[in-house]
Formats: sequence, C-alpha cells, structure tokens
Amino acid sequence: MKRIIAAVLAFACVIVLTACGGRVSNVNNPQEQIDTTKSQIIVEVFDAGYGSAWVSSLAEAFEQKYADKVFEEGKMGVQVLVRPNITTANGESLISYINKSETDVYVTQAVAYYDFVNSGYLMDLTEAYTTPLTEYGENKSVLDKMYEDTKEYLLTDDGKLYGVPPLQSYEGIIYDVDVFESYLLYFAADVDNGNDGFILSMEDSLAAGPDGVQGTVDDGLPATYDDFYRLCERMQQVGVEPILWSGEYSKLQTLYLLTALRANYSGTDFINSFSFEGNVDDVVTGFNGNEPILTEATLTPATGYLSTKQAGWYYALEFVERIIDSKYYSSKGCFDLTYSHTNAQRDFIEGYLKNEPYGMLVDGTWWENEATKSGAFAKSETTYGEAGSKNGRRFGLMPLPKAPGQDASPATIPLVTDPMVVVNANSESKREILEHFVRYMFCDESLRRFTQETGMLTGIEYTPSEEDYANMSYYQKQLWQLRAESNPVFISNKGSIYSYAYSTFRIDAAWVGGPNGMYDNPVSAFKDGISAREYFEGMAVSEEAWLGKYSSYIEN
Amino acid sequence: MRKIRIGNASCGKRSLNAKVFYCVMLAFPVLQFLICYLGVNLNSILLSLKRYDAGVYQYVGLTNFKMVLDELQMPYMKNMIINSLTVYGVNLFVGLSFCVVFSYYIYKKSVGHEFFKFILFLPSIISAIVMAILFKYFTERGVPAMLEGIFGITRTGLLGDSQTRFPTLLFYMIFTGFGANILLFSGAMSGINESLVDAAKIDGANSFQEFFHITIPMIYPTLTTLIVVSTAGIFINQFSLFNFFGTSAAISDYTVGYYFYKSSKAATLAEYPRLAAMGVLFTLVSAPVTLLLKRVLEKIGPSDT
Repeated sequence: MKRIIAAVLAFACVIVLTACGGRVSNVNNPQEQIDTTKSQIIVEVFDAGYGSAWVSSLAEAFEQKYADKVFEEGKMGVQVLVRPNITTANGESLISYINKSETDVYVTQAVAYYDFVNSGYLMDLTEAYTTPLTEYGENKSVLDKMYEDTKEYLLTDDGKLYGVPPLQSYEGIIYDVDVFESYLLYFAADVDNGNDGFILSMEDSLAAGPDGVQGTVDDGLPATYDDFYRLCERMQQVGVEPILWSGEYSKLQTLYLLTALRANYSGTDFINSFSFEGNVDDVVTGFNGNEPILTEATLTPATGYLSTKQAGWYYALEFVERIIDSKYYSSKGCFDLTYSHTNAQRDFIEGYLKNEPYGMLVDGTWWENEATKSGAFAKSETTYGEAGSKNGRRFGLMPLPKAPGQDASPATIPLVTDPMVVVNANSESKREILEHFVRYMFCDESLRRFTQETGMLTGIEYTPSEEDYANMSYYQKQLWQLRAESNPVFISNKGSIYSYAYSTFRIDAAWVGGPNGMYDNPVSAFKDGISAREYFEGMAVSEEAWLGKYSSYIEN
Repeated sequence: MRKIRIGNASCGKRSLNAKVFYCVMLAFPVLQFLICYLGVNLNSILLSLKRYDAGVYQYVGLTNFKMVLDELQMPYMKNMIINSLTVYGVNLFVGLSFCVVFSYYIYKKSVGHEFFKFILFLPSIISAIVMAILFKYFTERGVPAMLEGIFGITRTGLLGDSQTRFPTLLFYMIFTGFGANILLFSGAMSGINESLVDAAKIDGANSFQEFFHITIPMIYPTLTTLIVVSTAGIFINQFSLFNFFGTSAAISDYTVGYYFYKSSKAATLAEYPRLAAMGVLFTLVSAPVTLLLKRVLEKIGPSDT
C-alpha cells in the first residue's frame, strides 16, 4: 500500500514538472485545428479597444494570397492562427515571457520598445520594412510610409527596425454632433448676434474654432478655455449634461485628457518634455495671482527637471479644475467605481435619443469600436431604429481649446497606448513567411481593409479611397479629417533618461503632484479642495532630486 | 539466531527503502525551494548591485541603495510605509483579536455558531476578485442608495470618496481575513483537553476567565505563528488594492506591497535594479524584526509546566 501511495505521489510530482520550461501553447482555444499540409504562424492580438476582427480578416486574406506558395518543404500555403488575448498580448507583461513563447507575431500595446530590442527578443525586420512593396504594386517601402517622429523613435542608432505601429490612438473629448445641432451649441462667427455668441440656427455661419481657420473640422467648437466653460454653462441651461466619463476608469481617462491638453499647449515642442532638449519659453517661476510668470530656459538632460515646471501642465490642470469645481461633470457615474467605460458609452449614445442628453464624453478614439463590440450601438438601434445605429448617430473628436494667452493654431494631439506589431526573435526558422506577413500587413490593400473594418486611423501614412470614406460613420470621417488638419505627436523618446524611467514618464504616472506629491489623480485632488496651482507646484521636481535619480544617465 | 539475522536484514532493507522514499518525496520541494526561493532571492540581491544599460547589466556597487534611501525621503514613500504599518497594526490588534473572539464563540457552540462560521468563512471560499466586485457594488451603489432612502443623505460611494476609502478598505481586509484564521483557531481550540475546561468550571471559572486563562494559553503557539507570519508580510501586503483598482489605486493609499507590484509590472528592465535594492532594504528591516518578535513571543508565552 505504501509503495502504491509513494508511486502515485511521485507521479503527481513529475506531472507538475511539465509546467517547467517548454513554450506557451494555446490553452484558450483547444478547438484550434492545425492544417498539417500548410505552414503555420501564430499571431497574438491585444484584444481591447480596436478588437481583433481586423487581424482575422487580414489573416484570411493573407492565407488566400499565398495559398499556393511553398514556404516549407512538403507544405503549400500558410495557416495563420490568430489568438486574441488581453493578458498575454499586453506589452507590459510580454517582456517576461516572449523568449519562451511559441507566438510568432504580436499585435500589442504599451511596449517599452528598447527593452525588447536591447534584450534581443525581437526579430530584425529592417530589410522587410525598407524594401519597396513592389509585389503589391507599390513603389514605397513600409519605412517610407511611416510618420517622421515614429520613424525617428523606432529606428535604432544603427538603422535597424523591429516594430511598426499598426494604428494610431488619441484620447480626448468626444462630442455629440446631434446634441450640438439640436441644442444649437456651436459658436457663431457673429459674436454680437444677441445669443451670447452661440448660433441661432444651423444656417448661421460658424466661428473659426481653435485653429482660427474657417472651413475646417473644428468650426463652431470652443476656441479657448473660456469658450469651453461658456459652452458647459449653456449646456446646463438647456438641460444637457455637459461631460461624462467612466467612474471605474476616471483616473486613467482624465489623465489622458490632461495629457492631451498639455500637448495641445506646447504643440509639437511637447516632445521636448521627454527628450529633455530644446529651448522653451514657458517655465513657471512664480504666480501673479493665478497667472503663471513665465521665463525661458534650455532643456538638457541635466536641466530636465525644468520640464516639470512648464506652464502647459498648469493650464491643463486649471481646465480640469474648472470642470470639477463648476460641476460640469455628470453626477451619474463619473465618480462611481462601478460605472464602467461601456456603461458610459451606452449612456452617451442613447442619452440624446431618450431625452437625457450628454454633450461630451471623455474617452479614446477606440470608443466607437468598443461600443460596437459591447453591443451598445446594436441595442440603441434595436430600441430607436436607424437613428440609434452606428451610422445614424453622429459624433466627433473635439480639437481641444487653447489656453489663456495662446494663439489660434491647429490642434496637437498626442498618440497614446504605444501600439506595435513585433515579431518574436525565436521564430527565425519562419523568417520568410513572417517577412511576407508583416509586409502584407502594411501594404495599401491591407490598410484599406483595416480602414473598412475599423474606420480607425492607420499607424502609417494612408489616404482612404473616396468610396471607403463615404462608407465610414460620421465619427470615423471626422477623425480622418481631424488627423489631416492637426499635428499628431509621438511622445516616446529613446534618450537614456526616458528609456530608464519610462514608467515614470508614462501618462498614468507623470501627473503625481499636489501637496507633498501625495496625489496622482488631479480630479481626486480637486474634489478634495486642492487647487490647480497647489497641484502644479507639487509636481515640480527639484534639481537635487532630478540629479539624484538620473545622474548616471546624464552624459558629461 | 537465524531468525534474528533475517530480522536484521529485513530491518536494514526497510530502513533503506524508507530513506529512499523520504529522499524522493523531499527532492521536489527542496528543488523548488532552491530554485524558486533561494535562487530568486539571490538573483534579486545580485540585481540590486547592478545597473542596466543598452541590454547589459553591470555591477555598480551600492549606487542603487543610495538612490533608494534618497527616494525613501519622499513624502509619498513615507506615507506608503505608514500605510503598511497601519494595515499591519489594524490586522494584528483588531483583525486577529476579533478572530480569536469569534473562534471562541464558535468553539463554545454558542447561539448561531454554525451561521457565523458560514458567514465568516464565505469570503475565503469565494474568489478574491469576485468578493472585491461584490463589495465594490455594495459600497458604491448599495450604501449611497440606503443612505438616500433612509436618511435622505446624498453622497458618493465609500471607495470613491478619499475620506472614507482607506477605512473602508481596512474593514474589507478584516472581514475577508477571518475565514482561514478562524479555521486555524477553531482547530487549535478543539484540541484543548476537555478535562481542563471541566476542572476550571468546577473551580468556578466563568467564560471570560476560561478564555483568558485556559483558551489563550492553549492556542498560544497558533497565535504566535500567525503574528510572526503577519509580521514577515508587513511589506508584502497589497491590501487588496489591486483587486479593487488594478494599477490605478490612489497614491495616498499605497502600501509597500502594492507599490512593489505596480512598479514591477510597469517597470522597464532598467528599473528592476532599483526595485531589487528597495526590496533588499525592506527585507533587512522586516527579517530581523520578525525573528526578534518570534523570540520575544516564545519567551513571554506560557511555559509547558
């Protein structure tokens, strides 16, 4: 009996050892059928926001295109195994196990790119990305189609490229066009029309908006912070709840909004706050009442602490402080930890149709895809018909207003979430297939498919066809138009300080402030009675603290 | 004689078999200890002495420790340590005390003891995340609805309000901490010799006197173990912050354990040495304190005589 028990226990122990080593397999889909007549590649997709349906469509098209190609002896064609995953495909966790993973391609986000590169975890795809896409009828390479600031960050010092962003994400304020039109909430070109600057009818000429140019996507929208506050007050007067956000994610979403305001203040110079180089003219040395006193300074890695004293941070805080103090936010769910982002999206979509309108929603450009995936649009369409459908409702991403003292100019929009397509260095034996796959992913044919599936902005340069543009929802069209008229800015940097302390400079960590630095959520601080000025002053990093932390990364 | 010789040979073979059996049984846990505890911690100590630069870790001596000591002067770091100590103190003096009292109540089979056992053990059976979600809905929707319906008071939920958040989390920690501890204490109390209790009753001891003079001394080893384990985990306790808030907990609520988890999750490879150094420093504090406390508790505890 003892021997039997011993044998069973020993066997149990051995079974446990099977968890050690080996490569991660697809435990999420045991039904996955492998076609042994074809070569396989595995693609894991971070399945949030934009979802993974577009990758599945891409995979299907790729399989059809190369159905007759022999990549491996004895096999013809490729089978692309798409595995949506919100946990293992997240860049933050990925670094821990990518070198043990059997996945070949990751469509992920939140990637500390140079950690992966320096650790040798990513396949060098320089040749694949720099050779023109002639097999798809194009004379440009993927690199040629990348935006300059993205290219500058992702190309290593020795000219190698390991990853390309598949899409662009913005975060900010989504406004309800139907509500704005019904309640005449646009600003009029004729400010003396006797209606406090708002239009009297939709036939009135609209004000130029924040960019100061008429005929652009921001016409009629608040041009300045004061305009925005007046808009919120007008909304309250006419029975519209001005602003809504998810209480469950209030910290993250309002931090994204603050960062968007911050970037909009500095324009494309915003990147200086992360590269710690360049001349700036907005370092706050004190206050005159609530007006910051500004001075010029030169940012270097040694004086990088001055970037924490730039006025853009203060004005962004002041904007959100006013929203909290004046209660422009919805009391329904903005501070309810159980009020999720999909709840907020659903209420935002249906609010206008059930006479409980919301004017604006704080969220990211991915919100429409999330609302589609959660069924919010489908439910709205079922209840309210075509008027409640995704193509029936009209929304837009609001170019943010200008801070006091700023001139009218095109919006500057920071790119967030760091989306990336990378290939596992362990998959060298499948290099030929993988190079074909990533090249196909970024050819115009695939970008077109991506646009058709999601309507969202591609990570590299692409102009949708007129037909595709006509088929987009109002929101998607507005987004493309906004990108063409604004300045998206990539806010990562490959300098040594930023690379070392990437997690400190990330959006969700860069806003630590308040008295004694005891807040990391300005909205919460404002609710506790802390002022924007107090919060801003608590954000400042001293020279001593800066050098204490980063001196090893400052080259003499 | 022949029988004894055969008996000796049999004993010798059985002894060898037993030794082989024990070695085989212990091999895996020992290997696991060596790799997953000793190896990992040794690696952490070595990491704390390094700096990461462009893919390479280089030894830089105590630079990271100096950086960490400077960082620990920051107000939010001090607050974090205070929070960890507060959580430990409340867990010890309030949570553990109530645990012992409730265990005694259940041990004495007082009125409703089965019901209390079920309710107090329920949080240990339900998944921690599910429990957190249920509690969140209760505090964010249930409590405001009750306050408005009964007293006409409108307020935000307890976790959404910075004034009530920390005390609410303390309550949650105490409530959900009962289950396993009550099981341990009840088990220890069940092992008390009944004749001792009967003798005390004959001598006129009431329930309070029995509790303090018989029950507590008899479960003292279990109590000591729990206090020591709790002390060892002072700087590991995440206070359920991740269950409620993910990585978005308010910085004013951070405990050292939560800070380590959140920071490690988001850290670049270059930040690991600093975190490793911080971990070593906190261990240098908590380890001797734990050992000292264990010694003191063993010394002041009731003797066997």
